[in-house]
Amino acid sequence: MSDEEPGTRTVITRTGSPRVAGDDRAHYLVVVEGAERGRRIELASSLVIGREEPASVVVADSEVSRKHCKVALIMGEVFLTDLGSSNGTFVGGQRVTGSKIVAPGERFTIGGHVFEHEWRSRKEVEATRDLDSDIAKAGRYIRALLPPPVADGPVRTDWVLQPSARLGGDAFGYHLIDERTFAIYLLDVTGHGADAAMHAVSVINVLRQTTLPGVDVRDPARMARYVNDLFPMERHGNMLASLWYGVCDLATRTLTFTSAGHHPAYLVAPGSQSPAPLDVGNVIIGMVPGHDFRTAQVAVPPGSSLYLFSDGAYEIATSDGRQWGIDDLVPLFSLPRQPGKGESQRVLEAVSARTGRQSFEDDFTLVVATFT
Amino acid sequence: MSISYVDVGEQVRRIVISGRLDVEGTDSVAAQLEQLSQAPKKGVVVDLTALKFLASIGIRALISSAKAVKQRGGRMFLVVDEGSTVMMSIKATGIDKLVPIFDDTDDAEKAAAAA
Repeated sequence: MSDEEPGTRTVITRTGSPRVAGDDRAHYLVVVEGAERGRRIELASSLVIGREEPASVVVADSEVSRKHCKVALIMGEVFLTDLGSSNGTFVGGQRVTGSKIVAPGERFTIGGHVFEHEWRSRKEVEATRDLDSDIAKAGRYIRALLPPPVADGPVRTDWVLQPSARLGGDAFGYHLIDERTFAIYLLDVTGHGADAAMHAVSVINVLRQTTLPGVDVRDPARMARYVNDLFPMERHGNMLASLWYGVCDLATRTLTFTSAGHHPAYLVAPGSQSPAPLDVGNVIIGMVPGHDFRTAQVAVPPGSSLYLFSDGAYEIATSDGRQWGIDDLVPLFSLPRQPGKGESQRVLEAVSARTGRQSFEDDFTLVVATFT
Repeated sequence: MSISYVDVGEQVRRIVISGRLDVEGTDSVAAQLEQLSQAPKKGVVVDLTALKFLASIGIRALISSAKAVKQRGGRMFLVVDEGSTVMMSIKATGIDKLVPIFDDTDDAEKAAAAA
């Protein structure tokens, strides 16, 4: 430094990760949210994260700048520096200006990606790598079964499914059974991990069928009974699944639905005061073989929207230690839409802002279907 | 989260679960619940009045234990506070179709003794 007096020295005191003999821990950046979720990068010295080369870590994210931020490991501390990105780099909701130390366990956000600083034993990382990659594969497979959003036609849809790090058993679907009959459903298998995901895949593959021998797929009660009899917990690794299944006759604008151990879906009709719960009490899929499922019906006026979600969308411990419930989530459905933003994404962002959480303990799934 | 039990006479065991029955730690409580409910008692009362939060994974543990108790010829009863969030979670899954629910421990124990 030019303004230092001759003879003075800059002393760097090491305050970072203490090292003990036999400690094989290394510093990693782990992508915990975003398209690259599950990716783990060992920090050797410094790297630049950006949307394209020459960034050393390239993430496919349109919200990320070409050279977005720099992460440097200096004397056991991880320093994060924003490189003048358009959308900013955030730690705990605060935009980073200059350099900031990111402690082990802390996270930072760039665009739709969240990175966590992990300080872990190399051996441990090796041991979990295979498992992590299998969980990630199971998650990708479920994602491949999900229908794309629909931007036009009689029913428009958009959705978010943000899997938890442990991968829950959420899956959903919608399709036209015929030109006037629209089916929509959401499944939440109890538990986490590859077994819950496998069970979700098995059940969803039955629900995706537009024809089943001896089953009227237009009848939600019949469909619920069919999968309930097909997947008793005793023969399926004690797996249970809650299901909400609805079928809309687009000509008569009538939605017939059943819910099997699932909380209500909600319908927001234009000009209505508050979202209307669509609930029919039935048993969770797999618990009681032979159960007769009841259904209910509701009229679907033009412009009304159906909000179908998993319990991970409201069973959230907020960053200030409060327990969120369904009554905290539902009023968000009535708030104004944001032009250019998917409705499900708007709600996810509102939940994130109100709970102070960017990632959740369970899968966060929300499907919004608007009947034009 | 904790789990404890008291044997009430010869035929009834009361199991008390408190805290949060969610992802963290559910596995160990679930295993203990299944083990505790295997005692040769006719009636097993599971007291959830001190439970703050019940996630679906916890419900699975309750259901599989209730089925195991039934399998060995016994019966499970739940005690849950009316109007609590735990009651909402319980009712949503339809577990009340399988297991009788009381909001009073004494009533549940009487029913269990008569089981």
